Amino acid sequence: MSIKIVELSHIYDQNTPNETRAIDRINLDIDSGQFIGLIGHTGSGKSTLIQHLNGLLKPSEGDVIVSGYNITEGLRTEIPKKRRDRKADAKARKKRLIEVRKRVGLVFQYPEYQLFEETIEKDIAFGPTNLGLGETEVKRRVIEAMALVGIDYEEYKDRSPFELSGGQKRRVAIAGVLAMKPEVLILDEPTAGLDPRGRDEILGQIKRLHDKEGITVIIVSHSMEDMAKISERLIVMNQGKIVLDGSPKEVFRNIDMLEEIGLAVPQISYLIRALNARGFEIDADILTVQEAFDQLSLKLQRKKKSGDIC
Amino acid sequence: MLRDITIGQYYTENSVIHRMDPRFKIVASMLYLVSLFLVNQILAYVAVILFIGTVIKLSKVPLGFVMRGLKPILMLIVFAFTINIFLTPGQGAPLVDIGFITIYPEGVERAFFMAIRLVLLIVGTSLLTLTTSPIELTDGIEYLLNPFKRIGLPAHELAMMMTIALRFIPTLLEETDKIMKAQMARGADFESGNIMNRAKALIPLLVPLFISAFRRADELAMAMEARCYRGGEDRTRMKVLKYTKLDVFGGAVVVLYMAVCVVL
Repeated sequence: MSIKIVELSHIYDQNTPNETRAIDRINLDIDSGQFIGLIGHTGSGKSTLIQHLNGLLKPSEGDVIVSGYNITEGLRTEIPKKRRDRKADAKARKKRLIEVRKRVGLVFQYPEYQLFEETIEKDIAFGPTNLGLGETEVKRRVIEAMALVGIDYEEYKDRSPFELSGGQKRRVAIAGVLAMKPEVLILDEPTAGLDPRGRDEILGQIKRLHDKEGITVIIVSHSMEDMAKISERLIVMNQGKIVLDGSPKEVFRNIDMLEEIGLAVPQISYLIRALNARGFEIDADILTVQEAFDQLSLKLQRKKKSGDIC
Repeated sequence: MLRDITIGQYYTENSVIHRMDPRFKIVASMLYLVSLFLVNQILAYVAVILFIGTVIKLSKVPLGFVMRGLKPILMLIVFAFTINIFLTPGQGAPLVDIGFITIYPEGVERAFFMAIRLVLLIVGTSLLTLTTSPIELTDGIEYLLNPFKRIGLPAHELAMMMTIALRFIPTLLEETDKIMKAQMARGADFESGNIMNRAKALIPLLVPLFISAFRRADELAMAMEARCYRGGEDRTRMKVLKYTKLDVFGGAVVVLYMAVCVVL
C-alpha cells in the first residue's frame, strides 16, 4: 500500500485576513511497508499533512493518492444541483472515504481523550463496527488488537477505560484504531506525556507490529533519539515544506541545518562530534548509545594497547 | 468546520460608541428598554428610531450586522403581530368582520406597535453586545452589581464565572473539532442518517468533551488557587474602568432622550 502526495498545499482561513499556508506544495512518495519518522517543530505542518492522508482535511491544492486511488478527487467534486443526485453523490463519497479510513488508520495526539464507552471492549469495537463488520469478526479483531498492544483481553474487556492509567488508556485508544486493520498506521506523537518506560513500551509495540504485519507506519515526533532508534526513513518538515528526507544517518549528518530550524540531533551525535573534534576518529553516522559504546570501548582498548593512554 | 463559529457577536471597530464606558452603556441600554415601554405614539416612535439610528451610525457597525440579530426572533415577531391583530377588542366598528374573524382598528395599531417595539428592543440590546467586548461587559456588570454585595450577592464571583465561560468557548470548540476528527478517523459518521442516528452519533463526541471540560475546570481551579486567588475581596484590577467626557456627553444625550420619551 503506497501513498503518493503531489503538490499538496493546505491554506487555513483562505480568503480572510488570517490566511496561513500550513503546508506548501509538498511532494512525497511513501512505499508500502516503510517505517517513517516525521519530524518538525511545532507549527511546521506535520499534523496538517497527516490529516490529509485519510481525508479528514481537504487539500487547497494538490492530490493525495492512496494505493492508486485519489482520495482528494472524492472530496473536491462539485455539488450536483438536483437533490436526488446530491444524495447519491454524498453516499458514494462517504463510501469512498470509509474505504480510505479503513486503509489508513490515524491515531491522534493524546488519543486517550477520545475514549467514551463503558467498557474497553466496546470502545475498541467502535471502529470495526463503523466499518460494518459482523459481530464475530468485530470480536475477533478486538481480541487481536488488544493482544497487539499488550492488554489482556479476559482481564480488561469489561473494565471501564476511565479507570486505567495514562499509558494503558493510550494503548486502548491505539488498539481502537488497530482493530480497523489499517494498512497504513499514522500516529501523531504517540509518546507525548508518557514516562520513559511507557514510551519504550509503546514504541516497541509499534515496531513489533510493523515487523510482524508488514504495515506502513508513520510516526510524528519531536524526539530525535526515539526516531533515530526505530525509523528507517526520516522526513523533516519546516514551515510547511519538507527540508530533509532520507535515512536517519543521512538526516542527522545535517546537524547545523537541523539546529537552524530549531531541532536537535540525538545527544550522542553531539558527543561524537565533540570527540572527533579532539582527534578521536569515530564513525560520524553512529546514532544510538549502544553503538557509540561499542566503538568507543574498541577505540580505547586499542589505544591502551598502543600506550597512548595510561 | 467549527472554526468559523463566533459567539458573542462583538464587532471590532474603534467608534465613539465602542469607546464609551461599559457601565454607562449597560445603564443606557436599560433606560432605552424602559423608554420603549413608555412610548405609545407614532411621534414618539419616530424619536426612538431617530435615536437608535444615530447610535448605529455612530457605532460604525454595518446595518446588516445589527439586523442579523432579528433573524432568530422573526417568528416571534410574526406571532405577536398576528395574535394582537386578531385578539384585541375594540370599541368602534370592526375593520373586518368575516365569521369568527374580527379585526378592530385598535388591534391593527397595537399589533403594529408591538412588532416595532420588539424589533427596536432586539436592535438596541444587540447594539450593546456588538459594541462592547465580552470582557468589558462582564467588568461592567461586576461594577454595577457591587451595591448588591451588601445583601449577599456574589457579584465578583458571578462576573468571574462569566469571564471564564467566555474564555473557554474557543478552547472547547477546538477540542470538539479534535475529538470529532479522531472519531471520524475511527469511522464515525456525524453527517447522515435520521435524527435518532444523529443523536446517537453524538455520544462519542459528547462523552469525551464533558470529561475534558471537567478536567480543565479542575486544573484551572488548581492553577488559580496556586496563584493565591481567593475571590473578590480587596482585589485590584489591571484595567480600571473610568468615566470620560464621552460618557458625560452620552449621559446628557440619554437624559434628553428619556425626557422626550416621557413627555411624549
